[in-house]
Amino acid sequence: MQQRRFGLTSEGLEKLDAMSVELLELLKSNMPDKTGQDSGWKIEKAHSILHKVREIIMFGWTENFSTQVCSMLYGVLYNMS
Amino acid sequence: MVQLADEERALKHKLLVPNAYHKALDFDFLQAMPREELHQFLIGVYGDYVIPSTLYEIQQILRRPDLVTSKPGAENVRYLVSNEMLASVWARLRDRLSALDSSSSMVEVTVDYAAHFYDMYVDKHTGKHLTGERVRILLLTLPFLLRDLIAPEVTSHTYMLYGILYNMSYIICRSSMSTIQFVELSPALHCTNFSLFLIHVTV
Repeated sequence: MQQRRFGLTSEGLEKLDAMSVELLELLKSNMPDKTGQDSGWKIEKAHSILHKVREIIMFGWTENFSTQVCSMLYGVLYNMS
Repeated sequence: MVQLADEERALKHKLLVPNAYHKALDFDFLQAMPREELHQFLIGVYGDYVIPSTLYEIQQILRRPDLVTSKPGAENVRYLVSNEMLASVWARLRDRLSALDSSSSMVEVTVDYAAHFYDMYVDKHTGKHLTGERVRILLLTLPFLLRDLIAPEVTSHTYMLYGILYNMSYIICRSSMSTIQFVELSPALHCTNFSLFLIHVTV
């Protein structure tokens, strides 16, 4: 699969960034009502897609992000906040 | 924590399973942020928002404001696509999902999984959840399952309107074309395939 192809180049990251913008625009244009609500796609989960390339640059590959089995590491984050 | 330790000692097993990653050398909390593809994309965006939005769009198409059989401003709106017809759409989607097998779609979906999907997204059970791998199955298959999903309902609009307006069309056919244009302006007639219906009438 695409995300398992390691060694993403700078051109690939730029393309990925453009694709994330395109994905969000696609969602907004094709499904303007988010499950019947007026808020559209102004939600954190949708917006965070735009920051994915920055996170890859800062923290590494997406597969390095992990909360492990049963999301146990969420507890650490909750305790930190 | 003392109470927890006492309970664990009494039960002779751990209530809160320790995560071995906490003890990893140079463990980075940022690496553990909920930004991985499973929780961010598969469950976070696709499972929680894209699938419900897709089903909502289908429902909005079938429940367009002009597709009603009751009078304008009626207290109890009677939709052209009844609740039974709408339920049959979701049942059809569930059956399509359960009909998937590995030889045709490379994924095997059980009847229980399809029923779980129905409970979660149609009946909106709050206690039902899908794991990331199971959402991935929907991500791969739903674009194909949704194709022509509401074709029977859209086609039936033609026949239903044909029955409703049969007498009117009989008169219209023997009137001038201006009358047809007038009828076409009526919002009640602006439904799916109405242009096809007019072709049938006018031929």
